[in-house]
Amino acid sequence: MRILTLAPLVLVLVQISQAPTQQQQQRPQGSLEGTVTRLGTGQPVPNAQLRLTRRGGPAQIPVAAGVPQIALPPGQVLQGGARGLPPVVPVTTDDRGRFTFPSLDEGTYTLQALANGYVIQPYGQRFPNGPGTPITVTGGQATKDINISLTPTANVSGRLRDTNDAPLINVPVQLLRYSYDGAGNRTYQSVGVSQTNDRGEYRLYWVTPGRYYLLAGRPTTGENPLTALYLAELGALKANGNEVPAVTGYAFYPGVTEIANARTIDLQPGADLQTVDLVFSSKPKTYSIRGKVIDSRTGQPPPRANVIVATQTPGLSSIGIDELVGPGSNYTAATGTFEISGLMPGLYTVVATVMDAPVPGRAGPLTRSSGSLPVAVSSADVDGVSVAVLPAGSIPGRLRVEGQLPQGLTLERVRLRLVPVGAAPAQTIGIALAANSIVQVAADGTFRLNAVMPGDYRVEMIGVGTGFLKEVRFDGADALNVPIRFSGSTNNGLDVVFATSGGRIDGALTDARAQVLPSSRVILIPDRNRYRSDLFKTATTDQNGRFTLTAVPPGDYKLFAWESIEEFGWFDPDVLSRAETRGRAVHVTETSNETVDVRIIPAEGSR
Amino acid sequence: MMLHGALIALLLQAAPAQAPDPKASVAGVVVNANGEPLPNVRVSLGKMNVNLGPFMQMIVGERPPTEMTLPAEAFKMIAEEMAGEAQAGGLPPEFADQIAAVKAVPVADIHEIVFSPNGSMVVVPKSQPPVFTDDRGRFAFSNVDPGSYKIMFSGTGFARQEYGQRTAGGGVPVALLAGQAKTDIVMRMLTVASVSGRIRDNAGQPATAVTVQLFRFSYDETGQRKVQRVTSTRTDDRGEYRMYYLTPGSYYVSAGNQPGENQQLGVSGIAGLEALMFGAGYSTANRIAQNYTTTYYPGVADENSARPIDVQPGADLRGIDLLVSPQQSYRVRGRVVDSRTGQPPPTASVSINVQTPDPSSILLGGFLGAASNYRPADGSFEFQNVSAGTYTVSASIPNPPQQRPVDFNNLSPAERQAYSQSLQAAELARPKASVTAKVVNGDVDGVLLTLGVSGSLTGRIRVESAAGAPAGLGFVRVQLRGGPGPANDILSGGGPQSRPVTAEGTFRIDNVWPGEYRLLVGGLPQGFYVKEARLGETDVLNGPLGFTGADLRALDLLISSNVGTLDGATVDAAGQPMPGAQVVLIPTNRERAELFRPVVADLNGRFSISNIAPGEYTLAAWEALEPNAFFDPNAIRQAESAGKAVRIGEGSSQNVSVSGIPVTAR
Repeated sequence: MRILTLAPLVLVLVQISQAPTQQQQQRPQGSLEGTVTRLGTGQPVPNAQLRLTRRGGPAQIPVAAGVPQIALPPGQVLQGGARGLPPVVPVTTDDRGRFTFPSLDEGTYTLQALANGYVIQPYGQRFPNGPGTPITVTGGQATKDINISLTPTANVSGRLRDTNDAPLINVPVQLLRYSYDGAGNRTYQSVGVSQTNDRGEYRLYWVTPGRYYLLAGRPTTGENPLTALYLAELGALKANGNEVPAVTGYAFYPGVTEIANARTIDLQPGADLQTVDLVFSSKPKTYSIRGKVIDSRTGQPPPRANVIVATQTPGLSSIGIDELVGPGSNYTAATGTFEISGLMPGLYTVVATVMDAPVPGRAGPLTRSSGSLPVAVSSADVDGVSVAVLPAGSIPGRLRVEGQLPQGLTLERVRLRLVPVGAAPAQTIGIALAANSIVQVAADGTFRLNAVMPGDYRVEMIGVGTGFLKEVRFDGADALNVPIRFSGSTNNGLDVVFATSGGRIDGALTDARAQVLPSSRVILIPDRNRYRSDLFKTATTDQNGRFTLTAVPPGDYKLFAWESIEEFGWFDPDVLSRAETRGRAVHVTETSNETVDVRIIPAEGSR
Repeated sequence: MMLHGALIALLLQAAPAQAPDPKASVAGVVVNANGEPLPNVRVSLGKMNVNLGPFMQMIVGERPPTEMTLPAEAFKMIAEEMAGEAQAGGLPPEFADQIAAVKAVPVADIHEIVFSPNGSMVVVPKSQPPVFTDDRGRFAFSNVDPGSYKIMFSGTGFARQEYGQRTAGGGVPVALLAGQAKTDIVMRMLTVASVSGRIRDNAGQPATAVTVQLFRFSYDETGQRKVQRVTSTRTDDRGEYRMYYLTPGSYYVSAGNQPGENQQLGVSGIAGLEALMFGAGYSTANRIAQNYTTTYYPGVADENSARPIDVQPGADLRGIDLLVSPQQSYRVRGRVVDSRTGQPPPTASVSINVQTPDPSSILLGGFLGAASNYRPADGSFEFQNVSAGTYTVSASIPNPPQQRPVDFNNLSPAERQAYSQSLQAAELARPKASVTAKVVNGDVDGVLLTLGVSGSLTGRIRVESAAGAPAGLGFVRVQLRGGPGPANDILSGGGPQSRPVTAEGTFRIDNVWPGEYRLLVGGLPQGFYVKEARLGETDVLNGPLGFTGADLRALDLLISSNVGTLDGATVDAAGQPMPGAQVVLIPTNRERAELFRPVVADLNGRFSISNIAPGEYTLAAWEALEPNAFFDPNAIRQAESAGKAVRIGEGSSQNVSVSGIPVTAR
């Protein structure tokens, strides 16, 4: 159907780029060997696959853990290129868990071990998602005793039933892990989605051990025909086009609708939990949100508006169906009213967007207005919600650079971005709108951010190697240490001072026995303004356990290193408060050159 | 059986009586296999031959892979979205006609539109929304406009079916006359079934994440025999799979992975999305992505030796087990040459993609080759770890990166259009090459990619009609099919790209690579056919169109409104009408698949075919036939012996009766 291809289809475009290659010279080759064992028991792991990647060799495509990457922002491509070095053919362990790469070119390699039912593991990895320890192969020499122990994975399976005991069919079941993203926001990462079969059974296998929430079901964000169609198509694919009993409810284990009341499931290495069952109503009682949209410029309802609700319940909006919500479905222009029905109790954000009609003959971007409002639905319809939409506006600005830009970098290649702070509408509506807030700087340092949705933001620089934001003023007031509150208009815009200098911190990382720790991560955390994720800096120690941090904005910091911490886990206030006293304080000025040695914080409950 | 009959008669008697009416009414009862009434079954009345204006013209020739129901609300939203997109400059101006056509569909009178895989479409009117059967399995529609209808049934746990349906093709049209009360509809629903089993590798270990497919063979609208996937799933860590809610029938089962399915980017990056969109199931990074060669039940490597499994209503067929073996991997090597210089280009993007016969699985198979290891010194490239299969190897010279990336959101609608067009033009001008590489059981060497730039073909449509030029030439799509390029070669811009026909009747086809094509004209105004198509002196309507790249001749098309019509009746050996018979008008030139005209006879065995391109045909009818199975050479042979030769003259109108070929004959 051509007509359907016009509906937003999700396509991930991949472009390959190819750099010129250098011819390899013939040099004597080396070899590499070792074993793979099971963590805990030390048993050999046969049939494990070893993947060796040469540094400067084919780029590893990062595998997005958890939430699927649904669409790339316009104009952005995923680069999966080769740098010209031939990839090394993987080898497999024998019955005694041994492996050998017999002939390798000289160079530095990273090694990764995979086996069915074990957590994928880079050799010498010190922290989750961290790099492995590089291995140097010397011509004519055998590198031996490369030993990797693999953590067994866990399985979770169970059955979903309706309150009348009927199986709940084709219901997505996912495990959610509580974590932080790179911007310091709390998120729940989905680590795999399975669907129940006709007997209500699901099975999530070979899961990385950890604490998880289990969530079954889909969001109930309104009854939109397109969404319904999309979900029907999903069901039909599984069921041969035949009708499957609809399930509109959802539940977290052990059968609650709010994650605050949910119980985590502790998946231990090697666990096989078989009866993680859930019972919930397939057709729960639902409620409506009704209200009005008001254009704040006119005080009147806009002629055309798109009203959606985004659920704030984690794990439910991650399947991208928000993207498929069409315009005008829930909004009546004549009265300016909207109604969104079919909502289970929970926290929602009502988002209204209005795209003004183009003025014939007038160039320039269309004006977009938006507004949003959090709404809690408990056990009744919510009436009288009034969403005021404010027009998106332009923010002019000036960038001044203190110091020398790095060689080859001109002001024109510097880009600036507004990052939403808190639950700005741009975040809930999606990538398309967020992309508005990136702008390029002109040769004279001026810039103009167009079509910026009203909301709270902070400024971030892109494309500058080193340096820090020294000063940000919005309409003359400090906007570096407090967010910019943009309501659609501005008098003086933004003044940004970027300093290319910044402090420098060197040091060594050691453990309790004063042994240096290579390939480990050191994290610099500001004492104040912890909402500014740009003040958090990380470095990975080298072979000798040494690290360097540069372009550190002046201020007071603490340096931390954890033996065991999740990626971005240092944004977690609980983690920080437990560790606060164990950080090494450091005061940084613009010209600082500090040397601070750091002692690693051992894993909790570690041996 | 007797008992069931009596029960049904009783139920029918209990059906509510209908008052006489200038309109029609239809009522009946829905029962299960035992003749017991089924409550809560959704019954909808789909009106056939509804004129939806230019929209019909726009979608003529479009066939969805499975039956699709589009609610009017969704339709309206798509129309609004298209209009909004156009307003914002996201759609080229040529879409104006299409947007107008979609907007002109009288959605206010429509409840939903149902599109069938055979290209037909029925409209469920707003005045007759779907009903649900009552506790005694009864349903009734009153005040129905006279006309031909399909009655569609769906209920949880039962196969979706149309009244009178005998094959996957569809049901029997019910012709309702004014004042008629048809109250004897009995619909026997089929309980859905399931198929499950365990897949092991040749070492006896469970094979994980193997794709298991349930399929049948069918012919597509171009007459090609294809595997038609019914559903698919993946095995879990125990090697187990389960496919459920299946429509009873005869199916084939296969297990294995498409080449590249598990490799690199193929699946992992979009695992979650894929799981939801394609039903491919759960995926985890904690495993070795192992591809297995495809095995067909009961354990053969060749799909033609596969044996179907008979899935009875309500069956829970277990133990459909298969053994699979790991795919070997090979190397694909070759060279890139720029035809303009005769030298290898200094930079080139070389990629390898699985050619998948199933267009819906492009994302599943898709992309796999990043590491081509291209060497500009001698133009050589090499892909490793390629498993057996058919691939497209493509090369292109990347465009230089843009000086300033464009902030699309800050462009005016006009600027957006200009920007998109400039990107398109730059893409067309990019030197590319692609060839098909078959990897069977060894390395492939010597793949030669000669980079060149595609050409364009221009043309004009002339109109022969007493009523003058028709409106809506803008929907006409002059397409080239076949050709040298692989069908799913997304990286080199697909095949020829047809630009819309202008009001003056001129058109252009871009991205045409030298080779032999078949001309296909879609979206003709109602009541028109293509009478002539010439490239210079060559007839390219009844023969192939050869494009050399250096050819500057224009394509000359003549469309005419002098179509013919054919009405008739189907009869069986006893001279009785054959309701639901599959009637097909088969052109003498079998290459022209678009001239095959299938239609299903109604409850009285009557049929009517309009807008027929004049020419010589064979008219044949089958008691029942799978969709597009009339392309099957065996069916053609049957038609030749049992059918009737028919000559359709310009503007002719005929009435013919034809003897149906009974099911036992097949």
